[in-house]
Amino acid sequence: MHGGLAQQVVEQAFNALFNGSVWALIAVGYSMVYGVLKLINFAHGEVFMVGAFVGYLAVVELHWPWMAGLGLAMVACPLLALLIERAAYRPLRAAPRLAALITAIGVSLLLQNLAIRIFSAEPKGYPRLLSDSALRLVIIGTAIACTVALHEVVHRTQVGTAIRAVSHDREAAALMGINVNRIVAIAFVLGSAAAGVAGVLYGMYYNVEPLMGFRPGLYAFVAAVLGGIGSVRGAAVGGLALGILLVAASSIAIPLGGEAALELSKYKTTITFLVLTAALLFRPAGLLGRGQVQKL
Amino acid sequence: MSPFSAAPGPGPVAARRRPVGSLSGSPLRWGVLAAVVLVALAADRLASGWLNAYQLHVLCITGIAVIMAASLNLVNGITGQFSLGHAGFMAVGAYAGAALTVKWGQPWAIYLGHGTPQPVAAAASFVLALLVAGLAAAGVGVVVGMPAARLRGDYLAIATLGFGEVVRELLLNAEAVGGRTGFGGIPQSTSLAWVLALAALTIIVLRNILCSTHGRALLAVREDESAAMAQGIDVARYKVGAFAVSAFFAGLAGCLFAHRFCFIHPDNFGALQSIEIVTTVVLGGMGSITGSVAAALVLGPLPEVLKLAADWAERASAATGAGATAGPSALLAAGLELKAHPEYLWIVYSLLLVGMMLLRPQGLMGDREVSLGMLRRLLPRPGGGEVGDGR
Amino acid sequence: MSGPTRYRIALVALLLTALVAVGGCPPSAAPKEPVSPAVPPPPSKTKATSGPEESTGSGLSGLATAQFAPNVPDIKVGAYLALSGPQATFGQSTRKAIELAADEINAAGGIGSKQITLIVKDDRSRKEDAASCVRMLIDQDKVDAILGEVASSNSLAAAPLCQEAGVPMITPSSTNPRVTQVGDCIFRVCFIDDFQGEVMARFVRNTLQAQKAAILTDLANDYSVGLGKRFREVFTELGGQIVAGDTSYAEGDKDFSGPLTKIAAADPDVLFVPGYYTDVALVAKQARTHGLRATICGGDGYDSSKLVELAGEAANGLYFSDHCWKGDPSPTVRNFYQAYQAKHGAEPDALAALGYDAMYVLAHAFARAGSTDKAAVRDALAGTREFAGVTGTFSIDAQRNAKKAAVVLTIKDGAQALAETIPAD
Repeated sequence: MHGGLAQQVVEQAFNALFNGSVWALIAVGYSMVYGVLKLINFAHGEVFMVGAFVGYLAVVELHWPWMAGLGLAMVACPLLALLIERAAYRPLRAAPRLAALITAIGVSLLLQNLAIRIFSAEPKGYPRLLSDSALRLVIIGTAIACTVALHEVVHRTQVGTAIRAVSHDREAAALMGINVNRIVAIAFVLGSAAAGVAGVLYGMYYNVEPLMGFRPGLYAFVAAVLGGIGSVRGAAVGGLALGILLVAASSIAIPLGGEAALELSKYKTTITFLVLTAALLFRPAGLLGRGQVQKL
Repeated sequence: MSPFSAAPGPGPVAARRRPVGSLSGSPLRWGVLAAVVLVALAADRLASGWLNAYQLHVLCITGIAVIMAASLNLVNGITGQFSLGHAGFMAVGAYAGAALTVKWGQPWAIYLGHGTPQPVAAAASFVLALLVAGLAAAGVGVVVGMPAARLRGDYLAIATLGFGEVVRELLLNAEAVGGRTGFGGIPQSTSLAWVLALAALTIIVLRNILCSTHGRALLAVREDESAAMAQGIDVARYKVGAFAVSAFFAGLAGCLFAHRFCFIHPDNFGALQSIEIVTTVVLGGMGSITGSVAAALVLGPLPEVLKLAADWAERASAATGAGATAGPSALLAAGLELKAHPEYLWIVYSLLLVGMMLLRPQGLMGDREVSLGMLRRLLPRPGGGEVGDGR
Repeated sequence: MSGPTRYRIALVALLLTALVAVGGCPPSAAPKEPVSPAVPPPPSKTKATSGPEESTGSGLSGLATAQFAPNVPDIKVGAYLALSGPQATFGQSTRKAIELAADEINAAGGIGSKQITLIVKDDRSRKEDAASCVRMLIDQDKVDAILGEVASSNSLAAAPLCQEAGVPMITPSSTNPRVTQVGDCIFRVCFIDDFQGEVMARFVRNTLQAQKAAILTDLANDYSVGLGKRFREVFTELGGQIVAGDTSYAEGDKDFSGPLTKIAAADPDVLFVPGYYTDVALVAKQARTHGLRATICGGDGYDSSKLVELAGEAANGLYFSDHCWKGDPSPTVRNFYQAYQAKHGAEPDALAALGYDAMYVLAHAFARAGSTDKAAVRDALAGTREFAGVTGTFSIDAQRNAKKAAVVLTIKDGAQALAETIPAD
């Protein structure tokens, strides 16, 4: 498969779509939790990692088929997330935001290091269950399906309306008779189930290791912010935007005359964070978000 | 002009009450400076006689950790801006200082005259390196502070984390200062005297800032930005200022680090190190300089202490053969387990972080400082008298 | 200038001078090791060196019977390795082999009936810890010689300390040329990246008959970038063509779709990826998906029993340069292989073999020096000739590097196989 520039662009676009699907799946979880709690759940990347390990253990130790492993992750991750929410976030709901942020970081570090202790830091690979090309299509398909499904839930069901109400104004929602604790729990469950699915699929494609959640977690957050945090569609759009950005940054070389060229792949992190900062400064509500009035 | 924007200094006594412990404007401060330098020198002489080079090395590491923690506290604790990229400023200072010493250190001997003895020229070069390191880091602090001033809580945390990663990536690509291979050949100018003197200087300056009107402005920004703005405080300027000052001291620490390890690499200043410093500040108490210092004194040498403990356990168990399971042997087993799995340290740190936030969010010292006022309050007073300002 | 200001300036000047004069002096606590003249080896050990180089000792022969200074209780050897953290597999491998070697020597009677005490420190894969560990070994544990580290940056962090204290340091596997350039106390028992890059370039050009090659390096890793540069130099010298520019990834990156698509469009015969096996496994897996027909080649970073697990089928057909091959029928290799397998229940990799050789080279240097005097040991190390180790027969040259042969390995049906042996030049 080697052709001219047009073909390359098409292939890179597909790469971006694939890349973006991964970020979108994880970003959806960030968005949902941020929507209801206004908290960046730093531990989300680790929930994703736990999902990957659960799937790995199911397939390699228990010899289950991979879809069963996926299902197990979809159960295990929400359970873990609920535990974290109950133990670490709920007691701090009235506390200053900084306390919750630090707790989230603490939980993230705890999960990472527990995983290192139990599994050792080196990566592990799945046996070959699906061809890689098929896996890419599965990931893209799953991302689309998940985002559509979650969007429907949030906008068409009663639970979804409650979620949106809590995101808008927690106290008013409580006054309307909404059980805020239950809604928060549901948001965590939905977001973490998506993360678990992402984890298993990611692990099948990219191998599994305890620190695998740090970078994707960060990128997924960037995606969520780019698209508009708090919105499911925003997570998808942001994921796609980030996918395009990363694929472009890792393959474009700007010719500087003669033989020399500036390889952008050397500056991927810089480019990503410049874009993030610009987005936060100039369009903090994201590509799809509505401008929010800052009330004093 | 609101009273908050007036500069500190001698003025009508009735208009402002000088906080207890502050020496601003007093001729006594030069004496304090002299005392600091002399004590640092004396301590170095004393320690060199008693301790071996490794133990001195650990003390230097601890001192550097103190400077990092105290300087971060200015931003995180006192101004309430959660910065997760402090190691990035340290990197800027380390590389700037090292580049100066290694590439242009020589001309100073010529500047000061050919007769200048080598130690004097080297030390003068080091002073310059420290200044350049601090100022370079402060400059970057301003650049980072400006957009940071417009970001709120959680977003700021991610943006500063990103800043740290960006610095690391840029340095990895900077072939002129070694890039991914690292920057070696730095002379070991950092002695315990330098570390002690600069740590003391950092604490004194930060304390003075905290006790001045600027410090009150920063605290106001932390407590309620809108109210502070309504009072006439230029919030953005103070945030940028906090970043700049804290970055200056981080730069000093970086320069000390570079001249102690004699080899620096971008991996020395990554997200892991930033998070270590943040943990120190949080556990010590955000907003309390004493707390940060105390936490750094404990957590700074902790990895080395644990290494010693684990080594002792390994030697002891080898001597006694396969360990039984009673009393001291349990301790031995714990030590062996720790040697095999150093991640326990981080498991404990993270549990402490979470536990702290749930049970005692203000950290060890909370907002309080050890100060003359606090000591005065502890002693019985003859008359009623004013309540000493413990903050 | 007003009165008080003048005094303040004078006071500050006085303070600075005091600080400069006293603080600027080198610390008195760490006196440099006095360089004593080398202890001449006992007369029974000198050999006339005429004609072909004779071996200065290999294996266990001559160790237990060496003449050794009577007043030292034992020989302390320190090692600093990454036993935890991202590079833990490298450090653990090396440690196991060093321990195996030390145990073997001690069981056979030690060196001149002195036992070796091995002190291993974990630097947690962090460079500042590498320096602190070596500080600890030198000043606290007072070792006589040091082994370490695997990654070149870690070795570079600690080598100046060893050099300054005059403690001989042998790195088993750091391949960056700069490491031994730090000073005359720093040695290595492996080849350097200049050689390795050349080996692969020649192999790719001559044996694989490649016309076009692309290079994908890890920008965060000096080993990777150095190898890539050398490969590019030699490959173009030999008439090959480098395509697709100078693509890179960062250590820890998982997705290579961007660079791989770009490289695939240029259709090279070979893709040179001189990184660590964790990243290379993913590159190999993804290369097929992106339609890359090129053969993937690299360096000794590929050597790990995990490569096949992580890359799956894509591992077959990879080529990489390495220090030794476990299928080598020579008795030295077979014995080491069996001993390691028996003791640790796993196959040794090249890093283990190098660690093993490093310990033996050091032991023989101690035996020839006849004492723990650091300068004598240093000289003895520099005089190592024709050491027959697991990783080949080699001598330490004037730059304190080991001139030795390399092998090119490949993966066939999920196992390592020998493709070619390249002699030392």
